[in-house]
Amino acid sequence: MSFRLEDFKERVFSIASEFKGERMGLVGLSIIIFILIVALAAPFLASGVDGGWADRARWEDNPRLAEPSWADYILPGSRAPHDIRDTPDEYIEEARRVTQVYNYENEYDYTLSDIQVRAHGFASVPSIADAEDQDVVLTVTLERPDGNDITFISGERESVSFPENETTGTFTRNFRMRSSDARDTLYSFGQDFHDPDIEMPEQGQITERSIAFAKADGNILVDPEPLKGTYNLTIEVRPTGEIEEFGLDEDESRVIFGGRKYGLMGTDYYRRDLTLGWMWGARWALIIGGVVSISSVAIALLYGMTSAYYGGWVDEFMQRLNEILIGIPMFPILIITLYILGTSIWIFVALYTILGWRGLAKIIRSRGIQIRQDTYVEAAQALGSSGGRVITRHMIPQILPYAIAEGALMVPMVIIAEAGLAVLGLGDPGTVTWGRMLSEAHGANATVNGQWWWVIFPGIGITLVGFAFIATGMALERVINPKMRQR
Amino acid sequence: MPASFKYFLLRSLNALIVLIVVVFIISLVFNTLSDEMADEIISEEVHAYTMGLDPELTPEERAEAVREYRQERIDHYGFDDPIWERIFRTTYNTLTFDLGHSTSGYNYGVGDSAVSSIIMHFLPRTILLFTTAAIIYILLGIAVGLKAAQVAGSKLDKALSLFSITTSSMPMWWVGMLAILIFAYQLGWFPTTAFPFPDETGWAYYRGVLHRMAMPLGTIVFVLFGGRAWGTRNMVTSVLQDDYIMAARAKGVPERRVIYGHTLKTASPPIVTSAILAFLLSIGGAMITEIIFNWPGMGYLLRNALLQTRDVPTIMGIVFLTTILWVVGYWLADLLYGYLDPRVEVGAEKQV
Repeated sequence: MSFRLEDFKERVFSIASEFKGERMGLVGLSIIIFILIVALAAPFLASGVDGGWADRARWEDNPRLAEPSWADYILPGSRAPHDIRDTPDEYIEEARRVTQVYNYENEYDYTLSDIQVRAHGFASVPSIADAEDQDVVLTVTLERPDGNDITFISGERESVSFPENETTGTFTRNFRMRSSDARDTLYSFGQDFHDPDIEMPEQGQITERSIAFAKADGNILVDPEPLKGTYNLTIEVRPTGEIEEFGLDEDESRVIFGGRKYGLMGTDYYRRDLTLGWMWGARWALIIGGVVSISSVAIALLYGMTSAYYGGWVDEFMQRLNEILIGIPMFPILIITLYILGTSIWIFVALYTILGWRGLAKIIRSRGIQIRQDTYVEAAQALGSSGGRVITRHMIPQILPYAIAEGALMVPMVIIAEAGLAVLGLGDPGTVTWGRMLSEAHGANATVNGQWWWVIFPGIGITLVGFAFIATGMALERVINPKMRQR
Repeated sequence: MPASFKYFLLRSLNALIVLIVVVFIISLVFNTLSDEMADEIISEEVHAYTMGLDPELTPEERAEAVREYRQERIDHYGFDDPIWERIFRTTYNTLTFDLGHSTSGYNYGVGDSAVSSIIMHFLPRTILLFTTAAIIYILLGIAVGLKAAQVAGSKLDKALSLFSITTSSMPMWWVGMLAILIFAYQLGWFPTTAFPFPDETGWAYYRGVLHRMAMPLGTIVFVLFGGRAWGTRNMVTSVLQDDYIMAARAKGVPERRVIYGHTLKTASPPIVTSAILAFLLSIGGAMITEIIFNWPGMGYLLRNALLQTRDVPTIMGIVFLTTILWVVGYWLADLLYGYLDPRVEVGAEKQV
């Protein structure tokens, strides 16, 4: 058998050396290698993202709807970066008051999308008898460069919770500039400066978050202009009642200045890092495209070659059966079956494979009939090789390169089909695919709101992989059989 | 029996078998889920019945009446029948276009709850959008393809190759999303949503519809015409290498006549059939494109039925309709191919 293997190797080498002359094919192959590297890196660089995509808590610290970091280079204006502060710039302790101060330098045209504060502190009382119903008083203020301060939380009581039989307890207060209370504060702040000659806009018509960093002029509500300079965010705590010692915990407290740009591809409405999702999208695209096309090609090879080898009524029967299968429409079958059996990605892969091989099997059979008449096939038969052996050892290797090219051309169709089903709500909720990202973008009206980064990158992924496989497959076809090019 | 008639019979028989097999599969899948659905439908009906009962009745009488009514409804739908009987009945009903009633509750704003009426309400919009697009992209594709074939190897030809590979790697509806970003959001030329249709009458109404149709139409044409052009180009160039074309050229037949007369005559069967098949294959993508643009057609109905109302009879109806369209289209493509290319005979592929 060894001489046959040598033959096969030689053929592969000759195809490879000719392939080097195909420019488009090489471009396609390089893209495939790039996507493959991203796909292999996903579990390491973006571990847990696949299962944790829908987990809100996981993405809490990210900015919402931030553009890609490099947006400043291609689009007008500058965007505030995302800034997580674990330690305050100043910590002032006075007799009955502690204050944390965070400086923020605003030099951007597109100001912060959010401010998140987590104030965590401790308070102690003299005796265990006092360790209940104790409050601290909290104030959160944004001091602006123009002296018009905005007080988000004004002396609100926060109760201290004491562990049993202990005199020292803790308190936590979380704040977001996107909360409805804070938005009301910002709206009424803006109303103070609003030009009386302009009609007062309703609260639903404005973007409150830009008011905090806008020039205090008549246009603050209708057309806020960024106010540049140094801002101080102060968190002040005062004790009440029996509390003796108290303070803010430096390790547990923090402030997040929510940026307008983040990462390579930005973030979506749910604050998820689209770059990490994209990597998993690449991985799933290769997995579903690869598994479906490899298994479809394998079935098509076996089916087509068996039909060609045996001929007669076997061939007749297999071809009639195949014609019926070819008539079955893919799209409706996928919809109804996924809807009823559940939207697992593996059910999709199985269904697509079951219907994916039929067309290719027909072509392979017709070429198999030619191969069957070759002398070495007849020789193998004469030497007593069984049918299965002739098919797998002699006939399939002859047509394998062609089948691989056809398999490559199948990959984009699989990926596009999965993405389309995701838009119909038939995507797997446990995986991150490019289709799912796009369907979520559509669900959140990303196009209508101009959130281009959320729409563009997943689609570019699909197009890139599709292009790569088509270019490679076509180049491979040309190399294998220059005259056969028909598509 | 003439060979062409035999070809026709065999193709038709094949189409019929496929249709029955697919509807059978759909009915099978459908009925495996009907237990859950049965409870839902019946309890809704029983609830409505209880509301309308005579308040004078004693509790025992009420319970008896409700029990009887429930059994009556179960018998009506045949939910007690064996699964196989139900599957065959669904298959039969579907094949005779008896698609049942929507369980959506509001029937998507259509007056009638019959699935066939609902579909007939949404179908014309899909036909309007998709057939207009198909006519444009097929004609444009053939024209550009012929041009590229004449200048094979030129810059135009290479650009077309790149364009067709790129557009066939793109999900059609994603291009629609980009179109909304660019032409609706950024430039503001078109409305971001096609629905609701304009409130005007007469000329203003048609203008409004056209305005809403421009982007979805442009998207479908943009994505599909490149592939069509490339396919046409390849079929024509392969014919151009045939001996009789060389002979015609050698005789001094003008190049225009070589292309539009000799070549097109030979290349038209595959061009026509592949246009039909490409059209059929793109229906799924086109329906999702409708969703992106909020175009109130079949795609819109499908998405609502799948995601909002979980309305199985309507989903079944749409699935059945796309199946019919595919099978009939495939059958037509087969017949047309046989008609246009008389060399095709039954079993002709056996000789290779």
